[in-house]
Amino acid sequence: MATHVKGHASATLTAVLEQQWIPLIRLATVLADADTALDIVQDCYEAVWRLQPPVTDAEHFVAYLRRAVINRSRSRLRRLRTLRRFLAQARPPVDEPAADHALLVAEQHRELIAHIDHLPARQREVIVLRYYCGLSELETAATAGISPGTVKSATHRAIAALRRAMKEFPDEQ
Amino acid sequence: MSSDLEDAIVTALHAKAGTAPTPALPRLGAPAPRAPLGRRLAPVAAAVAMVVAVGAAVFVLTPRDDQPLTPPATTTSTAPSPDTLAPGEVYYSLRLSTVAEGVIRETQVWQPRDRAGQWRQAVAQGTTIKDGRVVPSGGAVGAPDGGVCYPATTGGAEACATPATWFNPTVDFLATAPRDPAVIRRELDTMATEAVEDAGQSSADYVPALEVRMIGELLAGNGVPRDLSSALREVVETMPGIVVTTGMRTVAGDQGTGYSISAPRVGPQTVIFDDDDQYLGSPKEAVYHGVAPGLGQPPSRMLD
Repeated sequence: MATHVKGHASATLTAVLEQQWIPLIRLATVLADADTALDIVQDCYEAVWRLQPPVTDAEHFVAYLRRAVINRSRSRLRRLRTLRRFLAQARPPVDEPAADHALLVAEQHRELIAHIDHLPARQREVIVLRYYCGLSELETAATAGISPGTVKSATHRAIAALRRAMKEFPDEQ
Repeated sequence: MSSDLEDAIVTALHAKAGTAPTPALPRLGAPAPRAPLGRRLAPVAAAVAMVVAVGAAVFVLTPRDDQPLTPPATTTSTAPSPDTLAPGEVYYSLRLSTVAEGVIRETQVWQPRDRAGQWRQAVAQGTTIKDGRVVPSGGAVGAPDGGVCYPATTGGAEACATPATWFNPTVDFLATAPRDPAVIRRELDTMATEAVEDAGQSSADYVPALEVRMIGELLAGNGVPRDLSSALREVVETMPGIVVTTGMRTVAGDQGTGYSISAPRVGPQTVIFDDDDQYLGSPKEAVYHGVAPGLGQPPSRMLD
């Protein structure tokens, strides 16, 4: 168990921050986008480093870091939502894809990501925590700061919305 | 048991995560200045350069031992007030409107604060929206590309002198208009009643529907201060007969709370607001506001 030493980062704090640096950037990329992910995680690290929290449970501390990234991703998304639309316009046009399976799958994933990005914030966060981070309903609830029931209903609504949006995945009977 | 869709979600999310930058963790505690957040986020043109610059920087991690352990606060929006334009800047708006079944018109307007100044617009039309923009199809749209005394297209003195009202607002009018919802409602009632009667309609049902329609028109325009947007939302949500729908989407898919009212022979009139009282549009339109460095130029920052 790590102890908190005033004015000095505990070894556990430093270790967790080092270990989670890239995973959190990836999480921020999934929640927001690659362009802002680094900013989001840097902001979190600055705040955490200022606070120098005692890290007595690394697992809980990682959940805390994830929640901080979620909060910051949410506010960045709102501000950048319209900017991204314009930036998307600036992208070079994509050539008509050949009828190649890999390309079709990639296009399907791109479309799916676009629909996930348009989900309400809570549903998007729950989807990312459940399907990207691989957390259980209880872990997702603890990380997102919501009840397990809310996780369940948000997941259900999000999946239903994505299924409606993605015609390639009809209801499974 | 996971479905094909759930498997695809997992794969798609990991593919997106794979696009993340992979910079080395900066040395903890090493001093290096970072640009203020608002400045880093503001200009569209600088967005990509900003990412590169931040990626190369070593950020400040100065230990401080007098802070209580509290969760990091969520960053709040630092968007400037709509009524503050730097010299040379103009208001910018992007509006997607359903003009016929399946036909969407995109109108970009650049408008100066000075009512008598030159304004410009760019109009496109199509049947699909991609990344928040209309994909043009079907040739050019017959619309003027600008003028003076927005929304007039000719420079007559009469257009610049027309009194500003709730139904014909100017930026100055919006800046000084009442903020008390009860006062706004009274003034709107007076105007809407006159307009309905002038049109030969006797039914009072049209008055609130017209008010909702014109509030939507006003909010779609430029220069609406945020406190006025909040007051107008309150006007709408306290109207008798208004139907509130959460999770309503604009034509572009943005989600908010919808306020609808119907009248005989006219369809439901709807305005959708987000949680911050910003007007998003309606099921038939979507609106975005910003500021551009000059007429016809891409917006340098968005206001909502």
